[in-house]
Amino acid sequence: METTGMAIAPLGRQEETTRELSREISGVPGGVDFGEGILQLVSFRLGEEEYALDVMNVHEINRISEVTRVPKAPYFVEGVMNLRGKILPVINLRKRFGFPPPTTDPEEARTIVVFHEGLTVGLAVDQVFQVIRIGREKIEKNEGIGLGNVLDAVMAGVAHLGENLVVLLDLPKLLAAIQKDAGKR
Amino acid sequence: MSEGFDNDEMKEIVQDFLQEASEMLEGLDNYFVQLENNPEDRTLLNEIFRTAHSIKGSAGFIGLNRIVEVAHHAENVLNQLRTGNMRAEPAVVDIILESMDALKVLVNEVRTGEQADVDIDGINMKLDLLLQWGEDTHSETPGEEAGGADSEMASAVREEKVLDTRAMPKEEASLEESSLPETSVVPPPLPPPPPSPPPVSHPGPQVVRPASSREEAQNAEAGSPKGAEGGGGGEADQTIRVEISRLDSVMNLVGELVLGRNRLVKLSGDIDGVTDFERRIKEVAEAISQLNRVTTDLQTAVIKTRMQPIKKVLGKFPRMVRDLSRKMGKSIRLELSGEETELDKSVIEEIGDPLVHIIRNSIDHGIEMPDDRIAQGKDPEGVVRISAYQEGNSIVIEISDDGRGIDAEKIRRKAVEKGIITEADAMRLTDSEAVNIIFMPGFSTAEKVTDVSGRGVGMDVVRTNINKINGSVEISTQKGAGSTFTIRLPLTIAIIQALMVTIGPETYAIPLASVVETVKITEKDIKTLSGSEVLNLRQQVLPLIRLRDEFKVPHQGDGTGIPEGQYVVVVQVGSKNLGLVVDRLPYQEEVVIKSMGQILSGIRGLAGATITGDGRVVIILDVGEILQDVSLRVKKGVTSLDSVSSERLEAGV
Repeated sequence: METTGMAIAPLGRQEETTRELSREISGVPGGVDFGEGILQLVSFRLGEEEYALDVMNVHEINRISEVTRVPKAPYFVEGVMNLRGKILPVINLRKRFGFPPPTTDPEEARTIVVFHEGLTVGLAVDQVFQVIRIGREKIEKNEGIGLGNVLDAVMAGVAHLGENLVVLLDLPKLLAAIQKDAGKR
Repeated sequence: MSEGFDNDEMKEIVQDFLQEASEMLEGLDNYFVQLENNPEDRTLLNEIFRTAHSIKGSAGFIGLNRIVEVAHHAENVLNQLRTGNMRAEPAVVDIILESMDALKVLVNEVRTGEQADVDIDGINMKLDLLLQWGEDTHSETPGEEAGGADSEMASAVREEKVLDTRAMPKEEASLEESSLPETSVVPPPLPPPPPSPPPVSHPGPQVVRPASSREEAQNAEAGSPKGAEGGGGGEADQTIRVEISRLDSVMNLVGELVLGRNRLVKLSGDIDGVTDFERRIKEVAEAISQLNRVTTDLQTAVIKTRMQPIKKVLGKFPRMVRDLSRKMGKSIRLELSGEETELDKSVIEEIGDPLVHIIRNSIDHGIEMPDDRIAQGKDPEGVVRISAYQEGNSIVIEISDDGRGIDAEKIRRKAVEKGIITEADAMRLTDSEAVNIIFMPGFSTAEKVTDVSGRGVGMDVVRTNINKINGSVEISTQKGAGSTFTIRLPLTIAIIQALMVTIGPETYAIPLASVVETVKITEKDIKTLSGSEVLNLRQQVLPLIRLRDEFKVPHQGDGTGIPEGQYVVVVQVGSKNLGLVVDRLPYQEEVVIKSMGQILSGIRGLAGATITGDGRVVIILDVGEILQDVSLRVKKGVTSLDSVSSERLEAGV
């Protein structure tokens, strides 16, 4: 049916099974629950940093297909794309967070399709890594560590993964902030 | 509710009732307006009585006692009318209509599940008083018995009358018994009735049945709000009634679609051993052309299932016109034509309010008082005419009155006073352009304007609402002879014909309905007039907007990136024209408008997006908003732009 060749990254299939699993474990669709148990996160790269979203909010992960620019849209809107017959707005997280333009291979770029309370958007990121299973106790709940106002407002905490630090984003907050700014025009 | 029904069934029954009752009540409104003109019309009276009785019957069945009560009292009065004991004078009709309004509110109460503030007792008392008064006058002038009614009816009436007069003080009894003559209307819904004391004079199962239903209803009274809530929840998922024949045609076409698919599957499946490829390609082409035909037909058929006669909206106007004209002491006749004209359901829903606005305006400010009309040599009775018809791919609704018309001179003066146009502009405007200023936002905000010009309240809202559904509205007027509002609406709002345009690497879709023409130009055809770009098109100055600049389309690498020849798409909304400068006009396409979602919904000038045959997303322009913004920009613009604005106005912008 779909002719645009919107390939789904291998992760997409894996995500199906992990989601089932995580539902049993965390069972918290919105926000991030810092209680007991295992949290499953989709981790991705923006610039040189690693970020993550709760897998419960992730619908699918796509290669970035043709995105149509929307004139007069807020600066952080990359455009709209065709998601199996539906129009999907794509948010450029780099621009949203005020990062410089990418320097790496665009082949790795992906759109993470997320949903929360009836709102579905695509988040354009530089690269998607993996689904991380992590104990909730390993996440440092930290809402403002001075990463800049835009980022501070939408982060849920920081996960320590060996050497790496992964910034865990609070999707409901992120979407609310985006909607608020979009309405300001 | 009753044990015989599970919750879903009950919900369905309540839903059916709501739909039926609303339709019936609307019908009744119009019957009464007709009745006022022909008070002696027996057929009409019988029809009214039957309708009211059905409402009462089905309301009783599901235990909506408040509705039953009012309907019952109204029915008593109606019965008097039917038997000729009372005449349908305006005063009488007023009270009956009031009770109909109460019923509407009560029905709506069931829908929303919220208790409405209705003075049932007050209305019942009025109706009873009316009855009393009717009987008094009747007893003074006896002998005018129900002569025309057939014998069955007459006997029914007699029986009911006897019961009514006798049982009147005891409301409950009368309620049960008056349902008697037509028990069949009340469906026999219930399990064996609980032994209730049968009414004194009429023992037997026939009596017990309605009584039991009432009993049940009373028992269920506590439960009924829950049922109502169910109905309220149903409002979110709207329903539509579709003629079976239309669904059948959809089914047939789907059948053909499946055949077409099978043919293609077969053709693509057994390629092995095919030697005559040319022939095979021909076969595939045939199959595709068949699919093409079927999908086009299917599209039309599906659109048809969403089409509804405009009668649904126009139906409420006779009553509205009657009430308004009575209130203002004017005498007005409403003439409707083309009520069968069909429109998309979503258009039907949006068009009601603008029409109410326009009709109110015509009655309030257009039509003169009877004395004035006589003085001008007009018929004392004013006429408001609504006609709907199809014209090509659009539906046209005309609302005309034979009132005093609109004084273009006053509008000019007011518009200058309000700073909407300059003095110089005003001089240049033709009368018809000046009159259309009433649709400008800002013109109508102050009440004072209405007093002077006679029109204008909410007219910008009218235009905004109509533009929202891709329609347009215009007004033409002749001083002293009346005005005509012409509304043009698309047949459907989901699928539109669009002209595809490209600017550099980007493609946009412009709704074809607002495109007047396209002109090929070269850069040197574009002139500037006080800093704004215009095109001299057949001696008319056409203001231009370069979509490349408007949308900040990124320039392509190779130098200017602007091709040699360009095109101007001349668009029109209402009486305003504007030229959109684009690079190329590759093709036209039928597009399905899709929303871009919450985040991107508020962008001015964009109506939505569509997905083209090759899977790309193309943005659809909202020409109305672009035009509005341009004229606002001109209005707000620097003083140097003022002279331009007059040129623009001259060009009909």
